[in-house]
Amino acid sequence: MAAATHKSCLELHHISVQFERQSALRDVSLVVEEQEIVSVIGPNGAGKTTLFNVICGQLKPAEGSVYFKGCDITLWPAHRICHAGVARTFQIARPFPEMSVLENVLIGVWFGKKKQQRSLFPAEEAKELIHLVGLSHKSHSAAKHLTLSEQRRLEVARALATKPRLLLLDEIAAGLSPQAIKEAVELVKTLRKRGLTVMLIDHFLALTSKVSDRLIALDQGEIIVEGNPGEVLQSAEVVAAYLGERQQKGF
Amino acid sequence: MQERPQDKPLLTVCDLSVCYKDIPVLQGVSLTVWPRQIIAIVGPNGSGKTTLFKAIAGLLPIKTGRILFKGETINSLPLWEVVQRGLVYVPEGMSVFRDMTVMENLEIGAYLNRADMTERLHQVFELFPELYDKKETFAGVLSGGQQRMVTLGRGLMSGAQFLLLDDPFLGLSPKVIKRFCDAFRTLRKKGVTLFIAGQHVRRILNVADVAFLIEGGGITLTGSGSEVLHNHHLQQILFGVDTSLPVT
Repeated sequence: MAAATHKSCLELHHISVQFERQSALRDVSLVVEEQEIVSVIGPNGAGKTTLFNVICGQLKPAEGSVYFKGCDITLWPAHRICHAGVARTFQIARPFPEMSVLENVLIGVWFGKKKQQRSLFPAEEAKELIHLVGLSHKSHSAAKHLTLSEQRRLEVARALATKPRLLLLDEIAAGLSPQAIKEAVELVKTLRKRGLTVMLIDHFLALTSKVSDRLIALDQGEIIVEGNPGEVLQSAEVVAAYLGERQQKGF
Repeated sequence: MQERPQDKPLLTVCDLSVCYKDIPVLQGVSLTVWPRQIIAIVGPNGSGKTTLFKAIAGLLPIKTGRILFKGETINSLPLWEVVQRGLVYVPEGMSVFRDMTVMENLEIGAYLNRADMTERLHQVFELFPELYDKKETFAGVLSGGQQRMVTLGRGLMSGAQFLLLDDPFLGLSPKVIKRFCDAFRTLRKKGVTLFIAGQHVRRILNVADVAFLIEGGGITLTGSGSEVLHNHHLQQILFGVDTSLPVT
């Protein structure tokens, strides 16, 4: 792989992660360009969330390097990476349960940026994001009283509150109705128009195949196929490891 | 709906209403479930599916109505007795005992019904071979999808006659979902009745003998899985009228 350039939003070079004696990621290299939407797909336990954990600095790789906008962030702590412009949502939502939706998002608005970048109108900023994810009617509800899908939307608002340049969305469509998934597709497209680069993990092909420029398929910690959604979803390796059957066209 | 005159209803819900504080969530829900069937309930987010399941399982107090299981009222019974009578609720999400191994989590599922535990364990590992390789691993360190498998496997370990599965496919890969749908049919053959709620609408309705649509806390449509899936009203509210997604 070529040396990190300023053109790419994100580059991973030969990333390996081990849990005890098991390899969670093996020699994973990838490039994500500015304003690209890339989805990572693969079987349960393939290493998708581990990949996000490495990018966000929650997990340090045993080998390899992570470059964000040309800067080596491999050993940076998670909060510094967040301040640099990388935010993520969690597959198992992690709101502050006793705090309201508004307070949860305010945490992101206030602490997700460097002091000098903090908003003069944090409450307005938080309310706008809550509106964007369709939770305005629940602004004052405690996060613990939200349904799972609402908690996931709260995760998105809180991540956006940090004003990221790269957003990592881990299963935002899980638990959403087909109609709500269509809205999620529109939301991701809107984020790109706002200049964001987005990486997605999701099993809902109605989301990933519709919105992504590229799919990256992981299996047992390794990239097995990479390319446009049509090619990847028809590839024999992906059908065998992940889909179990070929997808119909137009999915 | 398929009538089963030779059987008695397994579950009868009569005029059920449930409120959270003063806000009504379910209003006048009535339905009948016959044994050895796969029943589906679909509806928009927040329509009351999880509340219905929790009320049936005895996890939520009901405001009005009755719930009969095998002809007997169960809505005043303690939880453990509902489980012991063969009705088990498998919650949505990943609710594992994080500091226990996969095997221990599964064994907990069989706590009240240990007969044939080995056979059921074999069935769970056949369905989720991913778990067999990790049976001595702490559940808390598994991936989200694998934790979901443990949650479902624990429900199957109960050996229940009637399983309420709340969004069972959430977080699972398409291949595992397909495998799981096949397992539903096997369970039905073995005499288990399955009541499934969730957002994988096509998958669930394709496998269901009987299906309900729930909107705003009330049942608005009943029919076979295929009838409900192809109903124009369902298409409108769940997929949007301008959907380009094919109905398969």
